Amino acid sequence: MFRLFLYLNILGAFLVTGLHIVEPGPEYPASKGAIWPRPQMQSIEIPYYKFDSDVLEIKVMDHDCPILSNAVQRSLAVLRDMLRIASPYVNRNAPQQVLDDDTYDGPLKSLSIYLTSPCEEYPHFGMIESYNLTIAADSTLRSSSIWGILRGLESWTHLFHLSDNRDQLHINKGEVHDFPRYPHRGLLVDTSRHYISMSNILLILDAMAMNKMNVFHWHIVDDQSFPYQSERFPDLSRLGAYHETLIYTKKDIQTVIDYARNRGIRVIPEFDVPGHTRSWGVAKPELLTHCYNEYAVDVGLGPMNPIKDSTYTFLRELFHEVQALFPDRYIHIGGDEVDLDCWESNPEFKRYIQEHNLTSVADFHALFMRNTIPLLSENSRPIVWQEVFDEGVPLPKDTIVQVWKGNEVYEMLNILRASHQLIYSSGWYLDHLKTGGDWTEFFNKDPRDMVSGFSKDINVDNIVGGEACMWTEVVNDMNIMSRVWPRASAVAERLWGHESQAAYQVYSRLEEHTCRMNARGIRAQPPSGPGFCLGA
Amino acid sequence: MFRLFVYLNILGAFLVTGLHIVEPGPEYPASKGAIWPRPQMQSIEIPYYKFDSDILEIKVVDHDCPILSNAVQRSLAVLREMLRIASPYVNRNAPQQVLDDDTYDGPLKSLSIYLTSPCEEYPHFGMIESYNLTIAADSTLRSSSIWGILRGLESWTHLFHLSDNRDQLHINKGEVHDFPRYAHRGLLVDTSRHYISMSNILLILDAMAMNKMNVFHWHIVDDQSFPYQSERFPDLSRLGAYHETLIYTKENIQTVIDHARNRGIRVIPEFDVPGHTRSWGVAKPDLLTHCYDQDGDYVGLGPMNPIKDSTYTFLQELFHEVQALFPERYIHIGGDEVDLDCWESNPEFQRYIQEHNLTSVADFHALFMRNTIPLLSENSRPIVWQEVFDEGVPLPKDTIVQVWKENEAPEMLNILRASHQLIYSTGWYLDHLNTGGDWTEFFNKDPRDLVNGLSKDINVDNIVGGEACMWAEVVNDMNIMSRVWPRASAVAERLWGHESQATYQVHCRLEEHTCRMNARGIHAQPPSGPGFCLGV
Repeated sequence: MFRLFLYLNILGAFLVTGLHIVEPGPEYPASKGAIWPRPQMQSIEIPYYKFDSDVLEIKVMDHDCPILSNAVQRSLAVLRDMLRIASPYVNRNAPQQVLDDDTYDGPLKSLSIYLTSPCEEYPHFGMIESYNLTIAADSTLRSSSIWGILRGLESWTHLFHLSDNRDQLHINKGEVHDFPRYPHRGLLVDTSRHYISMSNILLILDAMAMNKMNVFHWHIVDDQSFPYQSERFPDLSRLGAYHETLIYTKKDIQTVIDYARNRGIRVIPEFDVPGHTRSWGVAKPELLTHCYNEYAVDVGLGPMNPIKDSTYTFLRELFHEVQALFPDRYIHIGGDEVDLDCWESNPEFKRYIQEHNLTSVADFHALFMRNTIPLLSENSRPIVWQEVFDEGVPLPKDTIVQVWKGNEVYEMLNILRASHQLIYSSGWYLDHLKTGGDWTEFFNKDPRDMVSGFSKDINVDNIVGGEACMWTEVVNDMNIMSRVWPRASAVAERLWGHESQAAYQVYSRLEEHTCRMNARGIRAQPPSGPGFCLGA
Repeated sequence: MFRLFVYLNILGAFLVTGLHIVEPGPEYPASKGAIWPRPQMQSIEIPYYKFDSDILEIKVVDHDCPILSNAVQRSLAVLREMLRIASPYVNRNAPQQVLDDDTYDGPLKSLSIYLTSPCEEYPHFGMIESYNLTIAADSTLRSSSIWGILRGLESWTHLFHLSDNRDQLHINKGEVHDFPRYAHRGLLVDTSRHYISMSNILLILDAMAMNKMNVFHWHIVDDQSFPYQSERFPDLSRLGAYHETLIYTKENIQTVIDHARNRGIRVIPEFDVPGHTRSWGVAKPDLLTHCYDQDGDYVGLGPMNPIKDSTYTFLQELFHEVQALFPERYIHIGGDEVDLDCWESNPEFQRYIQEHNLTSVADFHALFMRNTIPLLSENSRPIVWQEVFDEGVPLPKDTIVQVWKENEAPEMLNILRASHQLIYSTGWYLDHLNTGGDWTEFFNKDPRDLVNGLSKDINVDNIVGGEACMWAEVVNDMNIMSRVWPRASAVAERLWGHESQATYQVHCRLEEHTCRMNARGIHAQPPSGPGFCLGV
């Protein structure tokens, strides 16, 4: 009565001349103390140390700041929690583990943190995230950036593993030299199709930090609901949210930004225009275009109206408020799936085409963006979905284009030839479901590898990263954590630096990492097959 | 940046000559006070009553028993909870809702419960579940069976809906005459591939009762782990469970059975033999067959050994213990996916074939079942997976065959022609995932309709029901609730009696039912598309 999973057993089972031998126990036993995402360079030696919170001293040797001290406290709490969670599973009858063997090198005495430059206030595109970590009785963590120190502390917690009897935490002697391959490693969360609670957003940020992801792309509003509470235009959420309580206040947003900042995560808001804006029209119908059917009957509201000055007056004020709130220099202004047919169906637009000698209805999209991008604050940089590029809308050179459709290789080549930077999402739609453990499909996609060798006149470094996308048509607080994690972890490792395919060892490491997330309150689902986590 | 969901919008959107008009707000607005699964006959009138816990009196007029009084208390708690959960969303500034309009008929004064036969101790196959419910100021609920009363009370709670201002519970005047179409309406839960906690098992039973499902098919052990704690053979779980704490004790199982009994749910254990038994062999390798590759080398353990008397001695003792624990007359003994090749590969079996003139290796399966079924206690009835029937194993006439493979219509015809009863699961594998809201696929499968008209010499009533199956390869406590619910609700409605296809109204009713489950602590995921539930 169990079918379609045979492929899962290819590694775990022994197939002999039609025989199907299944071994008992977990399909992929968890690794012990493996860092996720896999670091660029790591050496692990046999001698090990024991964590003793009474002995271990964490010394901040160079620069310091609240982001650093908060991260140190969180790391220590993680270690204490690992022991606490394991304690019900300790076998009290087992003989006390002998630690005076040759490979035990005593308790961990200290971790000295050398931050060689002052802390930056906010994470930003291109921030330094590299770090060097040396594990010894007196360990050291070094980086020239607070963000590198955060990444290093995260790795440090991953290196600890429970002893066989689960009553001690051990860490092996060794070194880690680490840095990310792609600077933009994001997760998109759609809070319009379903509202996601503040507590889950903060948990998602926790999990992102555990996976060294550094961009929370907040697709905050869309056609269905408008949960962003604007101070200048309070009716937008009062009337356009699913319910007047299902909103994000200014204070909520500041909480998210601060929580993310402490974890080295940028928060990029998306206010998708001119399409996907139907909920804006509940309070402000005049922003949107009336669409007409073939009998010239008004059938409903479509994209924003690009030929009314009042549209831009409104957008200027809204963007001004949004950009005062979000410190990130980048802002996502959408531009996908604009219903050009609606514009074409409207008699006013037909007149406009004639009067202004437009050659195509896509010119309205260009018109809209030409008028909208200058409304953004000085120094800000737009991110747009690929259609804006595809429809020939002129874009500032520093615009990042997000690729989400199929036929992605061809698309990426075109964008790179136009010398734009891009982020990749096509293969990383978390709402796309398949039976079984489907993370390997995400894992095996590498955006730079896809275009490497196709063309000489491109710079693959302009592929600056990618984002896993959690569209929430059928996802809400009930299932978002298990839908995102550990599937987005596969994307996270791909973007950080691991260049190989999903080997058996990767499966085992992801088992451990999933249990690790569970132990830290992240309801990640089983990644690959039968198994268990204790104390989650 | 959102694709593949266009089909979801067919009902929610207005497609005009290429236009794609999306309305803001939920894709399917929730119904108000609709019973799930839809009752066989229902009238709803405009006059309505208000729930007031100080006024409403529940009178048990005829027979009574603890199952009944427990159910009454649970129902009242549900109503009070509905008000409590809604209270943060009440608009305190709204004018007090006027209830002296023509259609308000005062507070609900009483519900008189007429149970016209004494309570049965345990639910059983073919139990009476029909009930009649009349909603008036003095309401009545009538059934000749405690199980019918339980179903009626469940429906009664579904009829209540919040007033527009969310501060009152209303119920409309009306009548419900209801009975199930299929007798066996089950949910299989696999607790071997992943361990499922007791608290989630009890929540699953709560949700089953909310969906009028009446069989908890407990696939308790399998190849990967053996969480059933046997008193007679404690090593089975001590060595064969994932961890010695990840087990179901005798007390746990009694708790499950009692929780289920109070909700009119039968608990049928499955001890799948002779295949899917690898975890049994951790403690008892002598039970299993040694498999050999083509070079005659031993490669591992396969199915149980049907040619050793000790296998049956062991099974007799184990089944004796299991059947003393589970009151249910039916027991599932599996029989699926037996690795016949392993039996064939073993030299001892090759000799046995020659010595006993067996014509096919499948004869070992027949031999095994012929020896095993008589080990079950008197009056017990076996359920088996379809392979047992397919491989020509002689079965007692009262055996139920569970159909799970593709090509289900011919299979069902064959089983029906052999005059066996069957339960259907092929289309109801909850581990099979598709992008989007996939419950309609489950909903649109009706096992009797699949074979109706295909043959005259069959009795479709021998299709006694079906089961949604939650195989747990990639499901554990983190995601089981949202994976099962509300997808199994589609199966529940199909089996209870709804004979139509998944219309717009069914979508709206499932929205309400999902929010209802959420409000009662069941982490059901969004069924179909964008929307929201308040207060969960």
